[in-house]
Order: sequence, then C-alpha cells, then structure tokens
Amino acid sequence: MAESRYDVAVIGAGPGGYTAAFHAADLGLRTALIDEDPQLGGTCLLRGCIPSKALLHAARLITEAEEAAAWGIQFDKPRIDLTVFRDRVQTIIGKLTKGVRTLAGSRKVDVIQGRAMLKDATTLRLSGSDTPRELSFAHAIFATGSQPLTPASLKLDDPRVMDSTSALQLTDIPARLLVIGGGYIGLELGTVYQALGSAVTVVEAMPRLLNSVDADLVRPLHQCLQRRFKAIRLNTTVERLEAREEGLVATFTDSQGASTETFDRVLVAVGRSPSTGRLGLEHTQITVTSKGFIHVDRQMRTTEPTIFAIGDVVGEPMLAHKATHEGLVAAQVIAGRQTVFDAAAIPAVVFTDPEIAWCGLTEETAKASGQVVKVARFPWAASGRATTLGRTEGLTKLILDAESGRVLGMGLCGVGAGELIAEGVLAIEMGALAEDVAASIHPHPTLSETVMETAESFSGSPTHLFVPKRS
Amino acid sequence: MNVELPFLAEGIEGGDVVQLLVREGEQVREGQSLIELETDKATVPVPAPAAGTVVRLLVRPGDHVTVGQALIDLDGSEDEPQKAKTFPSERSTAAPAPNPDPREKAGHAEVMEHQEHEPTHPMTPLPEPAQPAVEPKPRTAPTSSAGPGIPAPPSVRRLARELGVDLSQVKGSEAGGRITADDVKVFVRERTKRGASPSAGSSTYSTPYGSERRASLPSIRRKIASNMTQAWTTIPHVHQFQDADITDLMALHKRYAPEFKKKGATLTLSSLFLKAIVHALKLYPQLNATLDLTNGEVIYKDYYNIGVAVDTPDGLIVPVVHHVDQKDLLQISLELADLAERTRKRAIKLEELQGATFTLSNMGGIGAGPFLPIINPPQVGILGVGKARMTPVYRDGQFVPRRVLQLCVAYDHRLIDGAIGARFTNELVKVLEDFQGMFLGL
Repeated sequence: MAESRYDVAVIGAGPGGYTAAFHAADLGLRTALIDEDPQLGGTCLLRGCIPSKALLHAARLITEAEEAAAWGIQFDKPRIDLTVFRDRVQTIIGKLTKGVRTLAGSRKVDVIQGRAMLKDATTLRLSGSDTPRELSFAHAIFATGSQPLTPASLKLDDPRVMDSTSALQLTDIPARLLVIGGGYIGLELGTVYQALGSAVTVVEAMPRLLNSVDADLVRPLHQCLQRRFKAIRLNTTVERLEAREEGLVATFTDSQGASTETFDRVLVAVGRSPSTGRLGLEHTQITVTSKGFIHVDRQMRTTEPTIFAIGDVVGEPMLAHKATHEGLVAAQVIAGRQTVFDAAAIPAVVFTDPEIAWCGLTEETAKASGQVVKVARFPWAASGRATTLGRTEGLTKLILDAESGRVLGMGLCGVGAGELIAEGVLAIEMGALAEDVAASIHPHPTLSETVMETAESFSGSPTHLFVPKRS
Repeated sequence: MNVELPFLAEGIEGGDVVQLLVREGEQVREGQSLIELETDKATVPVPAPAAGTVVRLLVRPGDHVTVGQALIDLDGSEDEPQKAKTFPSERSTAAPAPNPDPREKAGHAEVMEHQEHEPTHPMTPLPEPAQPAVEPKPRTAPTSSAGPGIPAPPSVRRLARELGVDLSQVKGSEAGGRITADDVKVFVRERTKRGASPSAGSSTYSTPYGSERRASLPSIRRKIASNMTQAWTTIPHVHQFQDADITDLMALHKRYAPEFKKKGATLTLSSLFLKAIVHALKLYPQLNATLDLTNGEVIYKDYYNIGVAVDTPDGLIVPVVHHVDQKDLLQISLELADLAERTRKRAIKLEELQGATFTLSNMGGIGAGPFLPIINPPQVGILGVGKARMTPVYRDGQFVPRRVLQLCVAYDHRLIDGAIGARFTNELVKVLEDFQGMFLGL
C-alpha cells in the first residue's frame, strides 16, 4: 500500500541528496531521504572524499617528518599500526555520518533505509531491510551518484585487484602497487600507499597525468611524484592482468612494445560511471545520455516533469560540491523558487602533495576554443611564504580576458592550493578584474599573496617578480 | 547652468526618463525638448528653459527623476555652433516648443479653455534616441561555451532571472562590462517603456502546481494599483443600481447618427451619457464636488469636466472632456473620439488627464453586464454602465420588448446621503428615458 504522499522523495543520501532533502524540508516540504546504506553520507563520506582525505592527512604527516631532515630534525622511521589507523578513519566517518543523521532528524526529514525503484512517475517501490512497500511522491530527486568503473579486460575475481572503495579499506600495505589511471583518484591513493611504504607504479594511457588540467600546473606535481613513485608510465595501457600466486602480472603496451611486470596489488582508477541501473527509469519518461547520465535541464529537472536528478548521476564533473549546489537548486525549484544552476565556476581540487586546484576557464580550453585570453603566472619561488615552507615548486596562474583583465579562470599547484582556489571562484562569480584582485590587500606572509601578485602582472610587474616590458 | 526638472502638475513629483532627445555638444533652442519623461499619467517632454549648448547629460534613460533634480548641464552661451552635431532639418520643425512654461500651464489646467486642436504633440517621434542604454552584446568568442560567460555576480543573475532579463542583452556599466543590479533595473524600465513583447519581459518557471510566468509590472499598472487601493480603502462607496429604458434613446441615436456622420463625427452612447450626467450634476451639485476633510469643507465645482475611462493596451487611462456643459453633442462626440484615440496611443497630454469632476465608465462596447465602479478621488461619484439588454417590460397591461440598461452610480457616502444619490440616479434614468425632455427643461 502506498502510504501518505511525500512532497519530495530524495533517493541517495550523499552530499547532493542530503542537501536537497534538508533544503526541501526547510522550505516546508514533507521530505523522505532514502538510501540503501544504513549510514548516511554516500560516496563522499563513506568511501570517497572524507576517508581519502583522512588517509592523505596521515600520509602527509609521514612525508613531512621526512622533510624535517632538511631542517636538521631527525625522526626515526615511523611504525604504522594499521588497526589504529583504520579505526581512526572509521571514527571520523562515524562522527560525520551521525552528524548528518542528527541534522535530518532535527529537520523532520524521514530517513528510510532501502533500495528504491520507480514504479511510475509518482511512485517508488522500496525493498531492503524493511518490508517491501510503496511510497508515493509529488516530486523525486535522484541523487544516486556513481561507482568505480572497471574495464572488462581488468576484471579479475581476485581481492588483490582493488577499486577506490576497497583501496580505502587499507587491508594491507603492498610492497609493489600498480595504479592504473593517472587521474586524481589514482594519484591521491597512490600518494597514500607510497607514504605508507609501497613502491608505486602509475600507468596512464594519455600523454600526461591529470589530462584535463593545464600542463604547467601538472608539471610540479609530476616532478614530486617522480621522486616518490617507483615509476610513472605515460602513453601506456594495461592490456591484461593475470592473477598468479606470487602476484598480479600486468602486461603493458607502450611505444616500445609490450612488457610485463608483477605487483602485489593493483588499484584500478580509470574513472567512475553514473549509478542509473535498477532504478526503474524505464517506467518513466526519463532519458539517459550515451554515457549513461540522466538528462536534466538547468533546473535539474529530468524529462519526466515530476522527477529531478542531481550530482554524479547527471554528469561531470563528479564532485560533491557540484552535487550539493545542484541539490539546493532542485529543492528550491520544487518549492516554487525561480532558480537555475548557473555557476560560473566549479572548483576542482586534487589532494596530492603538492595539491592542484583550478576553476573556471583553463588555458588549454581557451586555446582550443580560440578565445583571446591573457595568462598571468606567478611562480612560488618568488613567494616568501613558500620559501619558509620549503615548498617553492608551486605556481599560481590566472586566465584573464585579454582586453578587460576580467578573471575567467584560476589554477594553482602547491601546498594548500585547495584552500586558495576559493578566491578564484569568488573573483569569477563576481566578475572581478585582475585590477580588483590586485587592489585587494592579501595578508603577509601567506601563499594567498601569490594570487594578488599574479593579478598585478596583468597590467605591470608584481612586486616580487620582475617582468620585463615587451616592446 | 543645470536644467532642473520643473514642476509639471499637481500630484506629479517626478517620472522616469524615457529618452534623451539631445546629445552632449548639441545646440538647443529655447523651448526645445530635452528629454522625454514618463509620469504616472502621460509622457511629457521637458523643454529647454533657454538656448545653449548641452555640456553634459546628467540622467540616463530609465532614471527616475524628481522635481528639482538636475537633468542636463546647459551652457547658456550660443557659441561654437559647429560643435553641435547636425541633425536632419525636420527635427527642428518636428519638435516645436510645446510648453514654454509648463508650470503656468499646469496651474491653470483646470480652468483653461479647451484646446482641441493644439498642434503640439508630446510624443513627436524623433529620429533616434540619443543614448541607447541597451545594445546587443558583441560576442568576442565564436563558440565559447567554456568558462564564465557574462560578468554578473550571482545576486545579479538571480535578479535577472526574477525579472525575466536575458543578461546577454544587458550592457554592464562597470569595469570589464560587469553588470550591476542597477544595470538590470534600468534595462527593465527601458524595456517596459519600449513596449517590448510581454514574453521578453517575463520568464516561465515551474511550481508544484504547474508552470507560471513572472512579468515586471509597468509603472502605469503600479500607479493604477496604488490608486485603486487608496480609492477602495478610503472611500465608503454606495452603489446605487437603477434600470433605464433606453429604447427611445436608441431610436434617437439611430435617427441622428447619420447626421453626425455627415459632419465627420460618431454619435456614441457615451456622448449622450455625458450630457445626461451633466444635467443630473447640475441638479445635485454634491456629486460635482470634492471633500476637503483637512479644512472641513466641501468644494463645489462650477465646471463640469467628465473623465471617460479608456481601455488601452497599457492599462486603464481616464482622459477628461472638459466643460461638457458648454459643448454641444457634436463637439463632445468629436472630442471624445480624438481623446480616446490619442489615449490609446499614449499621445495624450498631461492636462487632458486632469481636472475631472465626475467619471463615466462605459463597458457596453465590450458587452459587459452591470458592475460596481470604483470612485476616482478626489471625485465623489462615478457612473458605470454595461450593455443594454432587450427585456420584457410590463406596460399598459402587456409585456413589450424594451431595451433596458442597468446602470450603477457609485458615490462617496461621506459626502452624499443615500437619498441624494438615489435622486441623482433617478434623474439620470429620467434623462436617458426621455432625452428630448431635458432640452425642453422638463
């Protein structure tokens, strides 16, 4: 029997889903939040951003202790208790997911554990721990997220082949780890395992790591990783994986031909695919793109008017903060507000060491589209703060409108880049000019000064860098 | 010298600049129109108080200006005529000095002699607006969907959505073309004035109950809304119904309409109603009066100016036929047709909208039934008529088909008692039923 109708049923309790549910409830709508997992938080909290950042923090402690030697501070080689390590990560997750549940309760959002499937455009069929039942809704928001993608050629029924989810569980520290995929997931997890003691080999089919990021931002990271990792193999594909007792044998193909190498574990991090399976979309008018993403308009409405979709399931970039913003838009649209998703810039951060962050227009996209831009760069070698940190490999750049100097994009490579990028987002959203950024006083001595100095070089020479005038 | 917005008329504190009719550096003659201003009631030109050169324009289209505000910096000396941009010669003749001194004219609006054929025309079309605030944004990149598009902060983008504004059409006033909230508001005012299609000024969106459309409220509509609220909430209305058998009046109309036509006029029922109203007002002067509660007085008016509600594409506007008592039916018919026509085109002059002592709202033309009209203060009465209907009337022992008009007089009960109001209404009916009787002094 369909029980009393909900104004909004949100399927998926990741950051997109719970944000949508919370705001729907705040806007006076009767809201249900449905997830298969007994813990709320979705990929981000349970097997994504949060655990990976906890691991990266620990990795950073280890590498910083190593870097201390340069200051004359010697630490012994660290002893790692994996049980405590794993518990600590679980505690962090537990604390945050409990927080989400408390917030849901105080907003009177009904949290339902179960698997939801559409019966028609206004009814969900629920299965799972509770007895199967139906739930009717005026509006639904699908926030079912994405899952790690494993190509068929790399599918082995062997626990030594991991995806990002199993890699985060940190079952052991393999002596030899192969990371397939030089994207942000592979590099972040590779960084963690390397710090913990693994010899890491990264294989990337494209000619560089982080293929969608401007090359000059990737270069400093590449150089750091080259020192830490055993090997970074670009323009290389993994033809096949073979499980043997002594290890997993990978067959690589590159311009030199084929070669094999044996590893103790393999992490497959070639991408993620939207979770649209077994949702009963076929019982509605919802349409899906060739890549499997649900079609939505700028109000996050699918081709079925009662149903909205947000987050990874509607397309790239698959980022929690994009999902949250979309969730907000969907809830407001359902409540009758006149909102659209029209962000001018969605920031992206790679939490490696150094970090890479960017937002808005990239230099390479501008070039490809023929847009006339001026690129201003400021190398961190000229930053006092970077020098005190002993981390001068960084770079700050701004992509500016050639004529007005309006900030169209920003990119950073360096420690703390993820915290610095927010300024670029604000500048872009506010339509700020390089002049505006340059005229805003930045605190000294901080890395944020590099943003100001980059902006200064649009119309002249920044204080700490001499740019000879072109005549 | 700064040219300030002069006093225009009683109750008009300012208006929105529709367009600038001169450019910086242009030579102007005394009395030449400098800007076109939209007030709550009409679009009026603001004349140059003296000849000179426009040094600087101090307002932009869309600005709201109030009386006394500086509009234009005018250099009184007439030198450097070569600096003035040469304009097509027809401009100087197309825009003759309309109101050398609007202050004086407005002050006498209520007692002025009628000027049916005044040659000046406030809406004289001019070749080009001086400074378009809006222009299509040139696209710099051929197909740059990547990266941030329009330089407008999120708060301004939200405002634009709410007002149904396509930001790519708005020119930003700040450095780098950044669009401010004010730019969006100016754009909307401008658009309203240009009478853009409603779809351009609105945006459709979804709600839980279906789709809706939001459109900005034109200033005339805002004014109507505030007037109606004031009238309805402050005036205790009495609505007095009465039936008028206008069969004979229709026969009279039928008989004389061709005669009027020969003279180039259309005899309408409205013209006949105006005459009937004036006749009844003369007998019951309380209805041709204004209540002055501040001074505890009644102002009885010795002139009979009747406002006639006109349905225009922009909304309800009420032009006034002045001194109806001194005009014959032919004059009234000619004047009424001309006023209505110019009202629909928004080419009516401010003074033609002022000074009414009573109002007629005739909705017969659109086949309306009886309705309750709302008094337009400071008047104290209004007549509302719909369409007459063929009705069986019991007469001399039998039912006969008669054309019966159900009319409704609304009067301000603070000033007019029910007995007076009823007698006034009955007098109206009496005249409508026996129009010739009125001329015979019956």
